[in-house]
Amino acid sequence: MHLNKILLSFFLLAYAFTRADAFLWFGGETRRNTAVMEEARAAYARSDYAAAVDIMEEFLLKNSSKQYLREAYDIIGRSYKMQGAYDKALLKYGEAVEFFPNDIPLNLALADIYYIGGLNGKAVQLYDKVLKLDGDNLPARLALARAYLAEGYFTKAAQYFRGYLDGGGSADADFYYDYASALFMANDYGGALDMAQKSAVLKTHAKTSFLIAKIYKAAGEENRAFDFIAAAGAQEGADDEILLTRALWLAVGDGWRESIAIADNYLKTSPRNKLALFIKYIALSRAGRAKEGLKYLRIIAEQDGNSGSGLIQNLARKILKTPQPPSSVKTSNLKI
Amino acid sequence: MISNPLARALFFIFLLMPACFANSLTSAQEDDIMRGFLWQRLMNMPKEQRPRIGLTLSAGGMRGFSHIGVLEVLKESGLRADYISGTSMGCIVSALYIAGVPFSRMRSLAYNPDFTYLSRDISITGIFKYVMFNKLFSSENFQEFISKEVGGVYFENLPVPLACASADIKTGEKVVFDSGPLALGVRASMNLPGIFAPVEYRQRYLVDGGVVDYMPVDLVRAMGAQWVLSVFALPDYSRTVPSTILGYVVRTSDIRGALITENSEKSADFLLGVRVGDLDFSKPAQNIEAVEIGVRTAYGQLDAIKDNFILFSADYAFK
Repeated sequence: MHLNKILLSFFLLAYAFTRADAFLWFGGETRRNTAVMEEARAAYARSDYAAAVDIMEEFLLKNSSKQYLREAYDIIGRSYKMQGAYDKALLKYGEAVEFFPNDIPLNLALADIYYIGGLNGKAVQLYDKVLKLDGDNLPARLALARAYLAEGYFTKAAQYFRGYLDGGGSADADFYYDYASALFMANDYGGALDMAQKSAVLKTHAKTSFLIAKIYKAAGEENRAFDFIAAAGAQEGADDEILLTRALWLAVGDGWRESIAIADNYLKTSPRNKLALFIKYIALSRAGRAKEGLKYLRIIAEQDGNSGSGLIQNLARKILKTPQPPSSVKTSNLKI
Repeated sequence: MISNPLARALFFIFLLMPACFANSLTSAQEDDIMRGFLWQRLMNMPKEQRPRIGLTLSAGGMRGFSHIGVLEVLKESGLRADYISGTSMGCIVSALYIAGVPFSRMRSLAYNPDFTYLSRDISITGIFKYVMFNKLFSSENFQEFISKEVGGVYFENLPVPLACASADIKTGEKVVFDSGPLALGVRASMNLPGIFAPVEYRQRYLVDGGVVDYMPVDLVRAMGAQWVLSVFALPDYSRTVPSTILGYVVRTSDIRGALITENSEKSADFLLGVRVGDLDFSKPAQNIEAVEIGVRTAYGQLDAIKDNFILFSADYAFK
């Protein structure tokens, strides 16, 4: 009986010591972890991303508790992102989402990396998942809209842009421009014009005027379309696409003289530009000088393309009735 | 063409622009500009001034839900089909589409399939009769269901001419529905043999058109289509072995269908194969996936489809 009491007291004391030691040990580890996290945050804050990654990677190797795990992954992911190492960021955020499958910021961060990397399908899935977790998440709505826009799923993109606005999201010129682009591509010209005009009010930019021009053109309002594309050409951000698109529009109508002038001028600096050459052919044909125009098609047809023949070259060959190289025109997405 | 003095002044600025931006467009961008321009131009032309467009939707059972996604993309792209043909599920989807049923409704039908729409015999008694007395299910319910969805229209009244293929089980002949009640033609086209009793119509005993014409490219050609886009909900038998009688019936039909589509595949100007994979009837979530696969496949191939049509129409584009 006496021995039993001694044994019981011994076990109780041993247990108490263990707990106390564990408590002290845990307390110590927490303090150490907090210090490491502070160090990593400071490294990130002073833009020393490599150091932030090193500190956090070591922390992940040594630390088995879940405390700070989420933040550690996030710091590594953000650091890789800031360094432009998207592949590494993707892997890290991928691991993080495995640990924290319902963590909204981590899912959004991973989706953003997919989006930046052009993997729109994957990005869409994750943004969609975030919206299932939190239907009111405005950044996810906007990001999903932009991912759908990039993917080419315009009706869905427009739907989520609308949802973002309806949810009280703030809108700037770029937002209205993207929304207008989605509506335009989804053939909603009225809505597209409305949004593009809102964008134009907030910021004057060639791309917005160009979009308005394309909307008017698609809606059959030729004069307005020409006015806006002309304006776009003189605004900040004007580029070759605007210039040559205008020349193309002019070439098929009564403006073939201007079209020839633009194409000629362009060809002075880029004599082998296929689009300018083709515009010259169209404009000359419109002027009743089709035979003269054929020589421009020949220049296109005879060019060697590094990435195979594209649409313009195939068109030139078709009109010239020269044989198309095998498989230059896709007839299926399957092997027949 | 310059409509006001401001635009006239801007024109001279335009002439000075090339020096600033020379060589900034890639070949792909040049093609994009040309594609966008010509596609819009051709699609805005009356059909008498451009090649007439035919669209064919293949059979494929539940995989055919992918046609909904494909049609959404094609509509959004501005493609205007002048003639449409379909078999079985291809006929159902095209009929709903042409009759003006919204995509949201079509998606909802795909996401929440109710097999009692197909037949009132899908019940314990009906299945008992099917197994014990070889009494095939009646597909009359389906005709009523389609009739409600499309409002009882006739093929002749559709805004875009439609033809659906079915087969006469008595003679083995192909029977084409391009007139008469739309719901009847749709029912006959999807009337899976061995499951549903033949539809008796004008001395014919009609079953699923997939028996004789899985992808009816010939029908849109006969209607007058010059350029044909054919959408094939591809069978995929690599993943599973059927575990039910229905599964075997559908699989056999798929294998046969794939074999008889060889000519149709070649005669289409563009063949869009949609790899949906094997779908499980009991998992409606897979139908959602099928629609989305249709969307993504169509988007992925949209530029190739446009290029093919533009090249086909080169003689019309600059008139």
